[in-house]
Order: sequence, then structure tokens, then C-alpha cells
Amino acid sequence: MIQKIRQWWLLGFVFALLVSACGAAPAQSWPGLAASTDTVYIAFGANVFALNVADGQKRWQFPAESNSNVGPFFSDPVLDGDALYVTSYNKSAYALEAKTGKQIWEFKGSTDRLIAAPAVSGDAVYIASADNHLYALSKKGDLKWTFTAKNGLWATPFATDKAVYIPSMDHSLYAVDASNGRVLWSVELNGALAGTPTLDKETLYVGTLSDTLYALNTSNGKEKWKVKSDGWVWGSAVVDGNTLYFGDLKGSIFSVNSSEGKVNWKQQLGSSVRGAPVVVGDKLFVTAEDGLAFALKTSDGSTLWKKSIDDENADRLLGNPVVVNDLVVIAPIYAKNWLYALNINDGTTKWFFKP
Amino acid sequence: MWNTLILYPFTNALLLLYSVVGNSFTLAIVIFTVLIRLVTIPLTVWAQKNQQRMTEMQPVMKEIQEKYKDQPEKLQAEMARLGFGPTTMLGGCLPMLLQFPIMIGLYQSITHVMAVSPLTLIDLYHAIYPIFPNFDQLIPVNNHFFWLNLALPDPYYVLPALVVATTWLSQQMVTPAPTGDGGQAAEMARSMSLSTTVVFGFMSLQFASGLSIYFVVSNLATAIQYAWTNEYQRKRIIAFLKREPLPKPEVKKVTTSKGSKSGKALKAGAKK
Repeated sequence: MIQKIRQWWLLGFVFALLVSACGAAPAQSWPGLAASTDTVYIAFGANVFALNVADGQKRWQFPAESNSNVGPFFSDPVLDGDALYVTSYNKSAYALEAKTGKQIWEFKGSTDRLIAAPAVSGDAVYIASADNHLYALSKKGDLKWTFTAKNGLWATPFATDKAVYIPSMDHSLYAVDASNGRVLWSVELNGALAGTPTLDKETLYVGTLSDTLYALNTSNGKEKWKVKSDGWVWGSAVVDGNTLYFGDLKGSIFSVNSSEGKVNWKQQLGSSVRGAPVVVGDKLFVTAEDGLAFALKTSDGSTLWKKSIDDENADRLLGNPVVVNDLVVIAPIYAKNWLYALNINDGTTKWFFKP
Repeated sequence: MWNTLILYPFTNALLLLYSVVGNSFTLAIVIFTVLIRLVTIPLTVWAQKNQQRMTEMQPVMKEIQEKYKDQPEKLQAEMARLGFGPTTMLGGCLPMLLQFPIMIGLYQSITHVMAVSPLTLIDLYHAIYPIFPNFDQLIPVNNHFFWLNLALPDPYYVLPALVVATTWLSQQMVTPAPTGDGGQAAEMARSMSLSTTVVFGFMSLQFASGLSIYFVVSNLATAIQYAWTNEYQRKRIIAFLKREPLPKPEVKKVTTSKGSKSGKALKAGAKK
């Protein structure tokens, strides 16, 4: 009978374990990346790491010691002068010394996760929160003003010295005065906004989770033109001269004339393009969810090279790639290695990083 | 295979319900849980009857096992005569086993539809069928209900308390009637009931309150179903609510093939 009781307890335990396992997601988002000419920064999970660009050797990590109260980190770090700004799902934003990783200050004002990366402009740091608020801080970490949207803010705002453009999951894009947070204008688009807008001269380009990319007038938010995509446009668009490039979650990459919205070419990459493309000269670097990194010709979208991350688990490449010196740096989820630095010319791996 | 057969259909159905009931995710969870329970009623009734029969026959099975402990072939034959051959025993577990993937699928689909993080939102995007009407307009799913953010645990512990209460209630209904074979079986049932209640209570403290709503509705559905189909359990719960002494189960008689009287179980359970 004692054995039977043990069996029942064991069954109960296994059942509880099974149900618990269903709810525990191993990651909530993808790694965030940033780079200077000599350092690559990666924010993923419990830590932010600074690595040597030349060989991927670790320079520092934040927090230096294991600390479950800090992190997890997923958004792109932002480098501004000697400071590195990072946001965390623990609701805090941090300013770190870029050279050492030492904490300068911590902002604890948010009541929900900080999914978006910080935005920096002039003397302000903008922290968009899933608690519907945008927090405008001084570079010393003091709160200057707040703005409230109708739903969570998942995307990094685009900030200038005069205005801050805030995409919201409430389907609206807000332009607020950078000095006091007052709304200059707002425009309701046809879907949630999870990607950072791109500013070029007097035009804002922003994608929506309703298969559309909009070109809006910065002075009043009026639509200049829009392009229908095949899937959600989550990643930011990139402008190069008179051409705009962006990808969608159906795996299409678009080249569009930025003045009139006419599609120059479209290529299908086979799986979701979440990250923002990067243009260097006549090459366009893009990553796709199934673990492929591409170098495309900007003129017609034809493939120059493509690289499959050499790891059977690296099936999710969703973050923004970064190009620094002669490297394309990518960070997949669940891979054996956290970060791969590829040769910009042929896609061969120069180094990788594993904590 | 799991995604195609269970997770994606459940996710689409749940999101469709959400849009039909006016973007109330709480209502969608409640209706979806009830619908799933209705669809699986044949399975649960089958499991319930099987469990009841096993409980009723336990004393005589014990007697037979004791009697033929050195004669495995005779033991098997006698058990088969009572309707408890190896295949039947295994088949009896099937309804219970089939409920597990349904429950896990429901649990996962609730997490999927809430899509509270970028990765889960991309997973939701991949899960939704291309023919789904106005999917884009439903994002983000409204997961607020009174004071609750359905994606987060209840800050005032109301739902965890409800989960504990309803889990305890459903466990009382599910626990078979005592058969008088001594205190150990009853002790084991009590242990199971207590541990399940504690585990579910703990989970509702940690996990999204949307899942707690599912637990509460599911527990109530179990309690109602057992009260509806099992007269003894119905009498027990009524007595409990009236604060009267709990009724004792009906004791029936059974005989083995050689005519020895057990005086505890029922021969009617045997296969003809």
C-alpha cells in the first residue's frame, strides 16, 4: 500500500510538472544588439555583454555577478557617448558606463515590462513601457515628463530635439513635444505598431501589424502614401537615398521608391523577416526567422550570399542584425552560440560568442 | 503534429470566440472551456464509470489476488471473468489519458492568444489560419477584466483563492466513495486531493490569471458533471452544504466463481 501511495504522489508530481512546463516559456523575446567601432553589445536573458569586435572576447558583463533581480534583457542597447542605455523586463532601465559596464543609474518608474529599446536625443532618454507610458528622463536618470497611450508601448520611439514619435499597440502613432510631452498630433493606423518609425527629411515611415507600411508627413501625420505588404511589418524600414527597404513576417523583402511608394522589387526569403535590414554600399543585409542571413543586391534583390547558422537549434533569427567594420553580427535564439560575426563579403563565420 | 492537431485549432477557435463575444477574453475562455468540456463528456463519463466500477470491485479483486497469488493464470482468468482483463484495464485508462492533451492544448492556446511578449505574438501570427477574419484588428488582445490583467497573476489573490476552493470541491467530487477496505485507500485519496489543490493554488499564484479562470471554470464543470451523474457524490455535496453527516456508500454483495462471499462488492460488474 505504501508503494501505491508513492505511485500516486509520483503521478501527481509528474502531472504538476507537466502543466508547469507548459507555462514556462524559455525566452520572451530575441537578443538585442548594438555596436561601436570596437565593441559589440548583446543583451539577452540575465546579462548584457560587451565583446571585442575583432575576436569576440568578452570585455565585461552586466550585472557582473549573478543577480536575479536584474534582467531579463532583450531589447537593443543604445550607445550614446560614454553611456550605454538598456531596458529590462524587470521594469527597470539602466544607464551603464560603456567602457566598464558599471551601473550609473537605474530608473524604476515603470509598472510593466520594458520591451522597447531606449531612445536618446539631445539631453533626454526616452523609455517606452508596456504599461502604456513613455517616460522622458534626463541623462542623469531624473523623470522629466510622461506621456500615456491607450495601450502598451512595445516599439522604440523615434526622437528628435523637437518631437518624439511614439508607435503604440493601440494602433496609433503619436507625435509629442520633446520638451513637455504634449501631443502635437496623432494618427490612427489600421493595426498595432510594434516597430520603430524611420525618419527621413519630412517623412516618417512606419510599419503596422496589418500588412501595411505608411509614409506620413512629420508635421501633421497625414498619409503621403502606403504600401501593402504580404504580412505584418514589425521591423523598421531603412532609407538609402531615394529607396526604402523593409521586410515582413511572410518573408518578403521590399525595395520601394521613398518619394512615391512605388515598389521597385520584392524578394521572398522563405521565412519571417522581423529585423530591420541594413544597407552598406550596394549590399542589403537581412535575416530570416529560419536561421538564414542574406546579403542581397540593392539594385534588384538578387542574393549575393546566404548563410545558414551552423546549429540545428538556431531556427529563430528575429533580432536586428548589426554591421560593424567588415562584419555582419547576428544573434539567434536557442542556438548553441549566442552571437555570430560573419564576414561581410562572403558570410563565413569569423568568430562566435558563447557566455 | 501537436501544433496542427491540437494547438492551432484551439488557438484559432479561442480567438474566434474572443471576436464573436465582443473582445472579452475572459468570456472567451469561459465559453471555450465549457465547450471543450461538453465535447469531452463521453470520455469523462466513460472514465467516471470505469473508476466507479473499479472502486466497487476493489474488495473482491483484492480477495481474488490474495486467493490466487501463487496461481497467476487462474488469477488472470478470474479477473477477466469479472471484466478486468489486462486489455480492459488498459482501455479503462484511455479516457483519462485522452483528456491530458486536451487540457494541455487548452492551457497552451490561452497562453498563445494572450501573446504578452514579442515572441509569443510572433508564435500567434504563425498559428492563425490565413482565412481568419480580421485577425489584425484583434491585436493586441484585450486582456483586462475588472482589476485583472489576464496576462499577470491576480495581485489581490482573489483568483488563487477561487482556484483552491474549486479545486478542492472538484477533488471531493472526483474522489471515489470509500469501500471500507481500511484507512489507507482513503488516506491516499485525501493525499491526492490535498496535493492537487495545493499544486493548482500555487500555480495560480505564479501564472497568468487567464489560466486561473480556466482552472476555476474547468473545476466547476467537473464538480457539476460529477454531481449530475453520480448520485452518491450529489448526496455528499448536499449533506456537506447542509452541514449534515456525510452519507455512507451503498454496500453491495458479490461472489467469486467458487461461491465465496466477499460481502463487499458487486458481481453485477462482471462480464457475461
